[in-house]
Amino acid sequence: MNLSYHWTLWLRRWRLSEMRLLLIAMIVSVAVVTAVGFFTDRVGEAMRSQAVELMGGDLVLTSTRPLSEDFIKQAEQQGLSTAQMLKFNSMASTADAMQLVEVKAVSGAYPLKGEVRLAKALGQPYTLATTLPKAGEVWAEPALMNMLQLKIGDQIELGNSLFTISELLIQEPDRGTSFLQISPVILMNAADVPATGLVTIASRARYNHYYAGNSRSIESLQAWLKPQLKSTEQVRTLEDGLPSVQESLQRAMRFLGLSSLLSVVLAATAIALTSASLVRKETVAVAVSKAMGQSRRNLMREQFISLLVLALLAALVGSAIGYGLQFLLADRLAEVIHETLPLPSWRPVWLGFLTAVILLLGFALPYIWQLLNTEPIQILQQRFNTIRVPLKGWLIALVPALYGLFWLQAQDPLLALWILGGLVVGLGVFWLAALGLVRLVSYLSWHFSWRWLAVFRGARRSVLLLVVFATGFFSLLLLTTIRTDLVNRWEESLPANAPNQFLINIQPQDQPGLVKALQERQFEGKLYPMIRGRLIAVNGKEITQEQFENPEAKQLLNREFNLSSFSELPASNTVLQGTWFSADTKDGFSIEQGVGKTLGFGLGDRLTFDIAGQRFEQAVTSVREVKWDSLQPNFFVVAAPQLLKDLPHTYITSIHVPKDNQNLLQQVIQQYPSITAIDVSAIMEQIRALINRATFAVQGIFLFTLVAGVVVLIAALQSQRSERQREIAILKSMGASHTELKQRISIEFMVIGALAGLLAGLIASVLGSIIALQLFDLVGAFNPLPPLLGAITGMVLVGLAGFWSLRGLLNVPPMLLLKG
Amino acid sequence: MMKNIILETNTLTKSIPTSDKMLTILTGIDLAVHAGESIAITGTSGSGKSTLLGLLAALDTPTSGSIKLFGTEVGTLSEDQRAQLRLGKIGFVFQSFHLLDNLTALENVMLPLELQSNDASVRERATKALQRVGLGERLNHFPTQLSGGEQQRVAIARAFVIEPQLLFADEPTGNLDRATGHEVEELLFSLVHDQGTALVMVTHDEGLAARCQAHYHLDGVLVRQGGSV
Repeated sequence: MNLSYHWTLWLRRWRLSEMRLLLIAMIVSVAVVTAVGFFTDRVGEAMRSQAVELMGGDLVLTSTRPLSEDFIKQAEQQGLSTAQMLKFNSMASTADAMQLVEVKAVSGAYPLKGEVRLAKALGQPYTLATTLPKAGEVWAEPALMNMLQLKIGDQIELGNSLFTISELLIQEPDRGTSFLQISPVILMNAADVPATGLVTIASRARYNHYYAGNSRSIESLQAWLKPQLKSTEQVRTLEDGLPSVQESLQRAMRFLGLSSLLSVVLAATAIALTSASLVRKETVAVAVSKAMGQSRRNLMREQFISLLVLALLAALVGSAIGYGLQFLLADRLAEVIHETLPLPSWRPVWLGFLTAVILLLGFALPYIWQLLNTEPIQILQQRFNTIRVPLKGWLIALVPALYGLFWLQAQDPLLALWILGGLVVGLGVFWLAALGLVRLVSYLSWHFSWRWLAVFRGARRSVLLLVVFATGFFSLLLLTTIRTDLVNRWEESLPANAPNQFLINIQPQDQPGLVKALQERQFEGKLYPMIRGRLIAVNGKEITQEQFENPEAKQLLNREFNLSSFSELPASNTVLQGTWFSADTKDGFSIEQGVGKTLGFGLGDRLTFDIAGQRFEQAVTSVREVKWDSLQPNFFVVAAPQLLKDLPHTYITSIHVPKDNQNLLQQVIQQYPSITAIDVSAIMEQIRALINRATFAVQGIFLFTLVAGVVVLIAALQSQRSERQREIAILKSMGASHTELKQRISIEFMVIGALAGLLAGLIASVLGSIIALQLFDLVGAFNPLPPLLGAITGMVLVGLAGFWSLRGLLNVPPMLLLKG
Repeated sequence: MMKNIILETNTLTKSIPTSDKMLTILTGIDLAVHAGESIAITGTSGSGKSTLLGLLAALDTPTSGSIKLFGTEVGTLSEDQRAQLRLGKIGFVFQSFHLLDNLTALENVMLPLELQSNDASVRERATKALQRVGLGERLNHFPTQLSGGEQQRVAIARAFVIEPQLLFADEPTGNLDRATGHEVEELLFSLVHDQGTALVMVTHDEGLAARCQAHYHLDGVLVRQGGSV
């Protein structure tokens, strides 16, 4: 038998409506899996690329001592491009004033990744630097220009040398990750450094090497470097460059992957239902073919090829739809990361095909297997056994299939097991509840002789419909809740007026005036005192960076902490342990949970800080969780409100400056030149755009789930069509009128829909209350709205769908129905 | 002189298990069908007619006794081996037609030919078979678009298209009105005659049975009308 023959057979089978329904269900699954796959692939790539930009290279080597030139030679031999940076603090001076600056002296192909943006004046469009600063010239950050009252072309002194400021430095890579720590930046050519006499072997400076190129060369360089690195030398990897907001986006992508499973599970239900009605139709064909001499092996081959073609078709069409949807997003995604996106990988297509195959193996094969066992003798007995798959058959096929699907999507075997367990328990609960409800309804119909409910008496099919519909409704309800919650939380975290400018170095004497100036311009921002202090002991024992392996801990101890002191807990902070301060508290520190974990202290431990030469020893009286992505000033350590009030301090605040009102901020800065404004709007725009994409994707998933729900609805109705056809014929032959049948169908489906909606809403509400209690200790009042809304929506939707699906049968004469 | 025996049974018994005991449906069935011979089996409902037909067509296996179909002992064969035995040699006509709803009349008739080979002649032979039963104008109609009589004609075309040596007919006119039933009956016998096909027919209709060369009555045991076999 050749391919064209099998193709002909497939096309003939395609005429069965069940085949088309099967294909649609599979296309929905594949499309949702691939769309999410493509999307997460590309967002992942976007995040990687942003992280690389923030780092300034694919691989960064950093040290407090000069790095060997051999490293550069080795990298260049491997075809990598390289750049170097020497970073140190120095005083920059003009004839009238001085200011501490961070000097970045660069050489090689700097910047390897990301861009250096320059402008001639603030507010003017920026240009991208294509060379290093020329000898004798520097590029300076606008804040420095403000502080020292400089303009382009003016000169400043750095050590022994005099430099001309040729450009405003708007942005360079590796800025912005720790923006609260930096002094204004000056970018200069590394060749000019020796003449300044500023850097000697003993100087506190940081030496960076940047490497960029293909990932294989990067990996091999990293492997080559690893054994020869000294303790002062560290390799910075991609993870270090990933800001916290992106972490939450990564979590969101994972959530997307998992919630796409809801559509897949719904589609799987549709596939099982449709397969059941498909094999019912195919039983006669199999029996007749067998009677004519068709062997079981040939039949099996036919069915197998038929399913394979279906899976391939679904994979093809589904992937194309998924890919198309991705393209809708790709253009705008490219805007966000300022780069042409690489073509998405083929992995999602492969994932889609696997999903289709697993769905068929798990949900259709058990039926097909039983179909092949059809005995040809049945054809003479005028009675075809209903094909029932034994529980064992289901367990062998379904459990591994579901687990496989979950594993593919969650990429985590244990999580997949949890989801599987949840699903089994959930279905069990739905089944028992549905059984109980149907029994109750049928009891009521007997007890009160309610003829209009008689259709439920002993009807197993009602339980099946009820479970299917309730599960569908529940999935939608669950996803709606999660979606709304997620989108709201993201929007809350970055409202339209989220702060986009940080103002630091606010002197105490400027505070009242600045508050007034900000108020006049309708800038809202709370001022927090900022006091620098070094952590020197924990519980009386000295603490040094040598005691720690963790680079993060070393870094924390290497620099001064920014402490603050206030009594009103900001919205972005939550107290996890202990008690927060009141306005008159004199003792105690409040710490952020992460810093405590890194440095090994917690509630009750005594911390000693050296602040302006004085030692302050206090117990930790509370531990806070801080939302770092809130773009509010946040602090690792906050002292009791009365503890540090007489110490030297500056203030910090963050405000939102509308895009077209930048000059208002300029006025304030000119009035208070010591203030440094740090513009984070570019970073925020990127974050916001990414969040928009993620939100869009979550909505998309919801839409898919909705489609999958409708497919299940049709499949469920289709699966009972022939049974109902017989029933209608019998009732008609007994004299049931058109109107009576219409009523009967409408009432049955309306009641089933209402019960399904009620059940789904009830379980969702109870689950919501349990989660609220478990996670947030909230005794949530039971919300009667979901069950009520569910019941009404279910009644209308299922009533309409059921009536629509069976209306065709009503007009057919009973004789024809019996013949059919 | 009688032609070869193509179907022969010897003390055939069929029992099926019920909840508490074995229920014997057929006992001691001895029957021989010669090539080209037509026999009718009549009996009341539940007398075991369909069970016997299933056994004779090797759709099922006996509890004891033997069945030789085309000279091969059927009882020890697997399902696939029995299918192989039927392939291309046996045709069926059923009371409920059992056409496949998703196939056109032509495709339904092509089906048994395609099981054997798929050369270009398949379509042509099937078309001829349909023309022979008077449905040359209805090739591309689906079963649901045909009347009961027309559906049974398609089924007859499907049975005869392979020019079977042996045809099993199960109440072939049972679902049809008298006039249509008569037309189908004429068609069936003329094809049997033209192709020299042996016919084993199960029916309630004594008139139909009378047209066969031998007539048996079944009531657990098989009795030839006019004398025991």
